Amino acid sequence: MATEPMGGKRTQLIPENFIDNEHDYESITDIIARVVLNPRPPLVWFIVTAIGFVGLNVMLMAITWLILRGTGIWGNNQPAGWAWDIVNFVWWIGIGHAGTLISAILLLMRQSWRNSINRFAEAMTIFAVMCAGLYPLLHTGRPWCDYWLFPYPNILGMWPQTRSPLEWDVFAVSTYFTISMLFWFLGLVPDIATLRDRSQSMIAKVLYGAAALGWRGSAKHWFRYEQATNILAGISAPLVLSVHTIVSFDFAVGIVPGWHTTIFPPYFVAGAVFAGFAMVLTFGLPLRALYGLKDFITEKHLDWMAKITLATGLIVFYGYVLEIFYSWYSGNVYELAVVNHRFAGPYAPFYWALIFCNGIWPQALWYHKLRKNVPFLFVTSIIIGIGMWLERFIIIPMSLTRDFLTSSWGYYSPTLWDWLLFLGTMGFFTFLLFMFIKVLPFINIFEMRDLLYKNHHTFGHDAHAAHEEEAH
Amino acid sequence: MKTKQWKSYAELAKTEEFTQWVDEEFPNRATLLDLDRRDFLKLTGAGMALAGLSGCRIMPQTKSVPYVRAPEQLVPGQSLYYATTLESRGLGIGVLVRSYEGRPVKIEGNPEHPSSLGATDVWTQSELLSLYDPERAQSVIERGEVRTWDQFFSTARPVLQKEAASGGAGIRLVTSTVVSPLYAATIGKFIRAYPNAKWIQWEPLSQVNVRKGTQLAFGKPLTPVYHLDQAKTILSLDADFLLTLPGSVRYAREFANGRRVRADKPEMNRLYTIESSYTVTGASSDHRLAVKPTDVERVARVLLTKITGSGAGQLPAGVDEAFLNALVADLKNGSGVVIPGDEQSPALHAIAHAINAAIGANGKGVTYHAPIEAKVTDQAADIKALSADIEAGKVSFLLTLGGNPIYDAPADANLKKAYLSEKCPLRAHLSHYENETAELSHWSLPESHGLESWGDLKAHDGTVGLQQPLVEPLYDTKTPTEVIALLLGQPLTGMELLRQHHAAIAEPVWRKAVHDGVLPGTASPAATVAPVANLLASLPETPASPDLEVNFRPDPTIWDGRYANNTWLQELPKPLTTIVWDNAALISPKTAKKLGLIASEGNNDAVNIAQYSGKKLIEVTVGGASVKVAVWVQPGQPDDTITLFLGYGRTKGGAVCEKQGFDVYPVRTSGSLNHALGVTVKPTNESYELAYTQPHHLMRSETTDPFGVNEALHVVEHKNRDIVRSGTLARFVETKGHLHHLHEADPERAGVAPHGESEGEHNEHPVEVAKLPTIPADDAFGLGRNHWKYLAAEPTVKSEVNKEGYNSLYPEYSRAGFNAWAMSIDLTTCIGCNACTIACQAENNIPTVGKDQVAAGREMHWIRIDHYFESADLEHVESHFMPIPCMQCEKAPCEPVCPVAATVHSHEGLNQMVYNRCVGTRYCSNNCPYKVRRFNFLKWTQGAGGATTLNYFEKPVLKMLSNPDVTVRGRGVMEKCTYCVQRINDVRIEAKKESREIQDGEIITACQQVCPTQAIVFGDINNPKSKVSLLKQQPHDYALLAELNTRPRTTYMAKIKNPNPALVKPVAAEGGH
Repeated sequence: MATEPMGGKRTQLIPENFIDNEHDYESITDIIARVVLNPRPPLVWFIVTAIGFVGLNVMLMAITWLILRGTGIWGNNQPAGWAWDIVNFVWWIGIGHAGTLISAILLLMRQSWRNSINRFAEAMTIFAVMCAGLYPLLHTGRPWCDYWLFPYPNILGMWPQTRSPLEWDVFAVSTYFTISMLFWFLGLVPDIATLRDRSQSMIAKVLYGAAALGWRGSAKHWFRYEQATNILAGISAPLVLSVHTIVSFDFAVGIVPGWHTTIFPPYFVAGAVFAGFAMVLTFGLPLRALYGLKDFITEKHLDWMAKITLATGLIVFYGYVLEIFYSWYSGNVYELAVVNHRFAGPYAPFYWALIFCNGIWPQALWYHKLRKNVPFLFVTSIIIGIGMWLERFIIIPMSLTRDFLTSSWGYYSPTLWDWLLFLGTMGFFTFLLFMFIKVLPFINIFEMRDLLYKNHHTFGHDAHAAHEEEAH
Repeated sequence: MKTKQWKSYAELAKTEEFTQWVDEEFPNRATLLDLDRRDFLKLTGAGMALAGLSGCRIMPQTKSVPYVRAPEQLVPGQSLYYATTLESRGLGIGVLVRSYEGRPVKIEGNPEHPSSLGATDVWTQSELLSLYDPERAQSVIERGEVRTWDQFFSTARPVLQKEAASGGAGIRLVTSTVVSPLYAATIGKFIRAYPNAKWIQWEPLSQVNVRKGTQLAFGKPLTPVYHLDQAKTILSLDADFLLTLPGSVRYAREFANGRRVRADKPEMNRLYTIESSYTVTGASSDHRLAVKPTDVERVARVLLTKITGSGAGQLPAGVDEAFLNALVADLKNGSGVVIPGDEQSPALHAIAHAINAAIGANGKGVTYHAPIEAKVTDQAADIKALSADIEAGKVSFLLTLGGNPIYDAPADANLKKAYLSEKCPLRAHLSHYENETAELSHWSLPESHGLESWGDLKAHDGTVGLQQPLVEPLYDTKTPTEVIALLLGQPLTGMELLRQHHAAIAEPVWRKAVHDGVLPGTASPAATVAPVANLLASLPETPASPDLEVNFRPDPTIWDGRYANNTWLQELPKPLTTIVWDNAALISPKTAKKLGLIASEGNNDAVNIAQYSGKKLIEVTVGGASVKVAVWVQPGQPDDTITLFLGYGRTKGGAVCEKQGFDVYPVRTSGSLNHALGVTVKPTNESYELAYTQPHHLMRSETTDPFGVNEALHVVEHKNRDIVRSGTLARFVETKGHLHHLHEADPERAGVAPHGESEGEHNEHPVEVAKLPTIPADDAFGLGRNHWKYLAAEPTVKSEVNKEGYNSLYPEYSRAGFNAWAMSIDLTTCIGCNACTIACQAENNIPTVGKDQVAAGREMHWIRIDHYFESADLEHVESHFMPIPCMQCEKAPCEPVCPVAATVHSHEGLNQMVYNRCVGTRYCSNNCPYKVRRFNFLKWTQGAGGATTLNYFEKPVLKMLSNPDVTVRGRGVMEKCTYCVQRINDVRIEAKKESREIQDGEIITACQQVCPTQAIVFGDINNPKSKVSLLKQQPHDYALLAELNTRPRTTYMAKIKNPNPALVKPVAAEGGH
């Protein structure tokens, strides 16, 4: 077949087989492409997409009202200039991180087990960044002036103020989005060509044909493809670290007690990967069940993802402990107050919930059986998602409402519109993700075939034999 | 011959290079000139089409008419100031009003006027908004139908003519207390024309008790005027002379003059307060005794016996004799003065005057003058008689001029019932608002505002201030004087009436008096008085009061309700409670516990209070009548005393005032105008959320603080923070002014025991401050909390503003060659009156946001008064006020975080906000440690805060309110204090025109100008001789949150108190000291 991958030059260790049961190139392609080409998606798809569509419309309504009325429809107030707007921004950005980590860093590290999850993880990255990007654009008092944050030539001779971490955000997030988008699309090209070749409808043929950019699977194409992938992966890899580092600067550069700390960059990055893997599990597990993809997203995948989640969770937890230590070690009255308030202030229940969600619950993942237990992993992924949201909530409005002058202390509570926009972005995200699943292969077909090829060459020519072997 | 113009030889020669250069430089040049016929026609056609399109839109028609004859002195764009007199709480206060192209835009104090001395109070400031209030009464209305003045007079005159036969026996004229000579004379004429007509004065807050008190003490009604400049000891007997007593603006100035502590003048007066509610005067005092209203009188009796050395009295329980002895010793030092409060009984006034006589204060600390009101009457008796007369059908024409008796008359007068009986066939009411009284009157007549009127008003000392209009009446309104004159058939203008009344004054003197705003030499002469002998025996007994008492007090912002439709005042935080848009029943923590309002066990008291205060209604019953009021548990409030504020719960009079707060007039009878005995209080289950600007109380603890420890944390946190520095005068002398961290470092003050309590019983309380060592301090984790401060490297550069010695990574700014603006605020003299907040609001077009938005934490005031309690327990509290404008930090944390450079530093040190550039990320506000930035969360100027707030767009008259020198901010934009940059620029332009430097004191910020105690000083710190520079060299000058190294240009002078050494208990010996 024309699209046979060329992986001969790779020398890599594949300690385990990442495709369960008996599959050949044809069956892999069939199973994955069927999700897209099947004219009648399962009923669940319709239901979830419909919910997502409703959410999308809620989001549009929330945005319209926000622009008509002003930031005041949210719960933000005088001490809490930022609240759910930035909490959700950081949360969504964090969720995207797993995609980049999987597609870029694991690619560079030749972790071929990533092949079955990278495509939809990358898609999640893009959609999450889209949701995240909405917030900084909309949180300003005058969103129609947001373009002033971009350095464009103008007759006023005014440039953005480059000392502001918000300005760094503009570059970090837009770069991240662009590179992620490119990387994702590039990876899609061979598979789009497959869909072009397989689709029956004329319209689909034309559309996929156009999107496939004339991919014919020639050796030259593959060679160029590999080059481009590696270059983009090389560019993306530092982005995994830089984006959330810069997002954390929004806080670390500020002087607010509870923000002004040097531990934020690594702790935010780890938190992002933590949240990102949780989100991959949250969506991956149901999809795996829905489309019968247990052979491709195997228990080993779940195990490994759980291990990464556990590891990054430990880093995050270490961050929490260090925050407490440093506030004590600094002897700074304001920093001490932050800890006091987290422990026993008005937001203490949220803090202890955070410690439970991110610190205590994930410790169960030390137990190998639980790492392969699908319902448990699903629950865990949801709990981590909540925990990471709480972490940002604890950092942002809580610190702001308890800063230097006690006279300015306040309290933050969200309004209906905060909820609607947040739920709306979730709907938007779900809608995009399910539309993507319907339109594009959410598991990388050619990389799975590549994996199969490698399996053959590692475990012998007979895939079946390999499985037998493994089963013993 | 054809000539041409040329600039260079190249041009003349028209070389190729030159043509090329021109083409490059002006690339569009050729295209326009080289139009061919077709292009020309195309362009013409397009132009016509566009012209036609634009014609499709109907443009709003506006007319711009130039002055045909320019008014005298008017230079467009430049303001003029006129002196006039406005009514503040019933008395005249002299003002200078800034007029911008014919419309008044800002009110300042008139330095020539004895009640003002250049400063004003919150009520005077707010008159500007009252003038432009869109809900003012604007037309003559008869039972809902719009009429004309002529129609009113043609209805009234026949009635008057009919009455003339009986000498006007059926005519009743109801006015507020009349302090205007012209008004009084006009009423006098009316009474002469109708000798049997009755003139009734009614004002809910009057000085009747003051007059009755002097009657008791000296045998005649008099006005006491106090002179606090030279007083070394001042005793306030329930007198809030810094905020509510007539003449308070002047008294505050005099009080502060005796209180400014400087390194070279370490001396100050001492204020004792014995009071029955927590007032700003009590908060400013050195020793404060909080007792029930009747106990004030009891204590005063004992005081008098101790001073005169004759007789003996029984002190109320809980009052320390040592305190009284120390007080007596201080009062006898030759320069003491006692001030009795307007709300206290005549007997107490008499006692106070007797004490003043005994300590030799008469003629020095206090002088007595003829009453300022035209006629001293027993107002409550009169209004009751009026009600009875109406019921009896004796009244045929009732004319109410000003006031609102239906709303605020004593409950037992039953005036509303009398009105509704319809036995009086003609009732007319002249008022600024269509209020409750107008609603029940047949005719509602619109009254002119003080800024639209000619008139005169007496000041607290009797000085006559002249009133001249700043603007033609905005609507078809009349003054009460004009109405009476017209009823008498004298169709004269206000100006003619006024001039006629003062016809004896020669024209040049008159002209100067109008210019100055004051008639010279009109202050009432001091009367010589002799106290009656054996006063105490002649006084009525103090009524026995075994249980709860109620205090009726004027609301600190809306007074008796007359200012209730003023959104500025509604949204001004009340001193000490910071409540806005509401009144509340103040109750002490102990009494709340006793009455079972708050739990007495479980959490600590503070948490229990926080869960209750400002969240529920209580039912207060006085002699059969009861009202439901929101409860506010106020530390410092005397036990068994509930303070109710008047003025709220209005039912008619404008959208701003209606349905705000609680009407307590129904429980206020003619026998208990000031305080009531025999009160019962019942808790209710009804919830009611008060809005307040400062979290004294923990917010929403019942849902978010299950552990119930936050309130304790709150107090501990505050204690650990170096926010308000304060100390005693003795400590100031001892440390040569270097007061640091009062809370720990001043063992003397820490040992001040609450009066009437034995020491040591509060030690186990979590908010105990007495036990704190200095360094290393105890904290939750046992490590020195200050150690980061002391670890900071020794400073290499010590600049003026870097006194604290912190280094910066950023280069130091050079201030050379510029003015360097800075501010100094003296916490010792700040009395927390809030005048600066409202002056700033008027000057800087600051919007109001409404109760809900304040509750959401979005109030917009650029300068706020922070209030901190300091205490060992919840009963004996001390208050600190701290005005917080923008600090104008030299290393401003807000500036680097703005992504669009909308907040930038000026070379003069101002931290500037560029509204047009702001996109509204709010990062600057987050990063501001002082939280002085204010964000336009919604379209405030379009009434987004609700129907009660200012809506410039729906109510165009409000646009006239705006200061044209200050931008009106739209939504989504951050704003903040600018040090009144528009005033700086005004002066700079003047100085530049005259080619000179800006003089010290030439620029006065709005907050500085209004401050009655001159606690705020603004100026240039590059000028070493400027007042602000000198103040910043004071040893007790300090920067707020200096450890953040923001280098604020606004600094504070530590608060110095002067407690009597005899009352300061030596601190218990403690290890480490």
